[in-house]
Amino acid sequence: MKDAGPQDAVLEVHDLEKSFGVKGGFLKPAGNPVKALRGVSFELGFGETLGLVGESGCGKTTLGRCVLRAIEPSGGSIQFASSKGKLDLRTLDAKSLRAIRPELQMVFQDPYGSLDPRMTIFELVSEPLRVAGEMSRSQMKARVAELMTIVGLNTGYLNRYPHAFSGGQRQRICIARALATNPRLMVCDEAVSALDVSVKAQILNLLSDLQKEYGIAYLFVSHDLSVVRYISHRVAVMYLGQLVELGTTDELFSAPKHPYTEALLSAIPNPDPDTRSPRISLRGDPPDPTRTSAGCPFADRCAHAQDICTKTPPQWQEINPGHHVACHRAQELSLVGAVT
Amino acid sequence: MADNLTLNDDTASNDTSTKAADDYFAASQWSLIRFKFKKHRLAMAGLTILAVLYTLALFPGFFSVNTHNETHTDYILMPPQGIHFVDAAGNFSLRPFVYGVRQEIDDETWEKTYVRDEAVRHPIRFFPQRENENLWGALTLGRHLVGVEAPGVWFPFGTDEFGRCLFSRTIAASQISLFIGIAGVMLSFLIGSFMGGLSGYFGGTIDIAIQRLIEFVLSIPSIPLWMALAAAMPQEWSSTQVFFGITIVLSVVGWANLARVVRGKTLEIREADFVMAARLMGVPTMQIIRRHILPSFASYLIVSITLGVPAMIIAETALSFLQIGIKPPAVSWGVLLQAAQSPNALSQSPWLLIPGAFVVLTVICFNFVGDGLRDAVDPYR
Repeated sequence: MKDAGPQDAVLEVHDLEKSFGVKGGFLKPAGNPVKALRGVSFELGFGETLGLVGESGCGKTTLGRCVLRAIEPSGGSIQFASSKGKLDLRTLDAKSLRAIRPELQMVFQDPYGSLDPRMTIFELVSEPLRVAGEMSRSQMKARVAELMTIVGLNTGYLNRYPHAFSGGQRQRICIARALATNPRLMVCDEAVSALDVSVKAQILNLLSDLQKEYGIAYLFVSHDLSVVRYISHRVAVMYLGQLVELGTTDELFSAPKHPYTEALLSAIPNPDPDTRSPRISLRGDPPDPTRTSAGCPFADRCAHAQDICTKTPPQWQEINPGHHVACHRAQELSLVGAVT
Repeated sequence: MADNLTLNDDTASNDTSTKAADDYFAASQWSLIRFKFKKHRLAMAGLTILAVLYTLALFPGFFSVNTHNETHTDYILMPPQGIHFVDAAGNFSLRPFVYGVRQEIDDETWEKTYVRDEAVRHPIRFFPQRENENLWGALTLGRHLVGVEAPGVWFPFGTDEFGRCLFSRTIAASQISLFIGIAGVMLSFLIGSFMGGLSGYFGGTIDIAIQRLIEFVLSIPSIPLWMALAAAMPQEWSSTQVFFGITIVLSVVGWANLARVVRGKTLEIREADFVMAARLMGVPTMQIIRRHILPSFASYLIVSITLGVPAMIIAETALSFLQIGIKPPAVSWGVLLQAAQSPNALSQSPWLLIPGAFVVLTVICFNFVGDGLRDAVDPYR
């Protein structure tokens, strides 16, 4: 079922970098740039879900947005297998990028902020179709009604405004809108984080059903490990703008190879009160993203750190087929996975 | 699709909606604002009064009872005349009337006093036979709406030092006073939204420059600045030119606050998720601005504009009161209040302050309407 790595990738990201300038003020010199992404590389197969996890501020949202060129990356390449052949999204000019937009979609975290409150549901869902400009109004009406049925909303609601809907319904509307142009890749940026638990499950099921039906690839950004475990085929762990581990969901959750992954996994709440799992609490705060360290970025918070960790940056190595990790001691450490 | 979609989930909760709920859910933002605004009683009252005032201002010749520039030398500084339904003998008449007035000189003090002449009654009629000025808005009727037949006189607010009807002058003055507020705000709005839009959209150096300019403008004491600008206007300008000149003077100071609102809103909406969503859908930039950004702060702008009008009206009144704004023979409320400048005039003839009451009423009404609008457009209250 969940294969080790994509044979045929819809998205190949190489050495993606993004730094934000820290502007100087009136009497304040400009600071060092914030390095939000420090050379991120991964592949995403057709119809695959890649979960992207990490603590707040590690750059997962920036990565999701850079992939879609919602913000401009500073370096690297983003190969996207579009219907018009392979394209590098990073160097694409504005016009060609607009032409390819229908195949790239995004679902946002906040279902309240991502729908324009001044537009009806029909206007919202049909907007990508209207922009693509290939459909007559009656065709659009039929397509929107179809989309509403697909995401499980009543087609009678089309002339209502977003204020009439609950969070879960709004997220369905967002998904319908993202689905309108038959995308190949959908970036879900914390798409279910704002929803309550029961609605969360419905939306996750809807997303995986849509994936089976239409073969959409998801880059699923979340800080919620249970959600990522539920929906992802593979999971990437991010720390300070870098990937520290990437593997299939099962392998990563049962046998993590990076101490940071282990610490994250130990934070998942355990529903069984009888088996008390050890909780690894990290020392210190996430490091300053403007600074570059000589060694492993995680070294100063790592319980297993040795001299080498503070001096040499670890290599991104394939420790098992399809399981990558950036840690000097990945081979020797035996780390604890998540409770099942 | 899969089974989980047919479950009784959150999507089913609206199925039992009534007609009223349906209207509500299909209501656009503007209709929601209207619903909420209508519930704000003070704002509705304010809006009604403003509607009346503006109607009066549109047709001053029709709604006044005398010609506003006509001098009645027999009736100088006469107090307001009351309307009566019951005469001295206790007879009730459905048609209201005013008594005639006779001037007498006090034997001891030699002061002129006005004495009610109960023998003479002037009934108040619709469309009385009476001379009317050729002021725009007198309609083709050439008549006043109500009044007494010539040669009787009726001065509801009394007369000024030249024996001119204060009521008719107040109404004629409202034309300039009320519309200069709107014209000034419109001009401020044009300057303010342009500067604020630039500042918010581009940011960086442009933003810093414009923000410092705004702070500079706001830091100058406004009355000396107005005085300087008003003094710069040529003396030989006609009333119309002065009107536009004053409008420009007011806007030069007034745009700064609006520019701040526009900048803040532009900054906020530019970063909103739905704008990014539109961008990611490939919506062209101009369409994003027109379809998403502009409509989302139109409501806030209207609130700012509404709250900006009274400030303009007060500023015009202050300028004219200080004799550096609108100049006679053009009349505005500030011009009328000039007559009330001396304490002597005030103690002898307090009715000269009535135009001031109109200023207060207008400003309060605008503030109520602005408050109501602000509550109506703010979704978090």
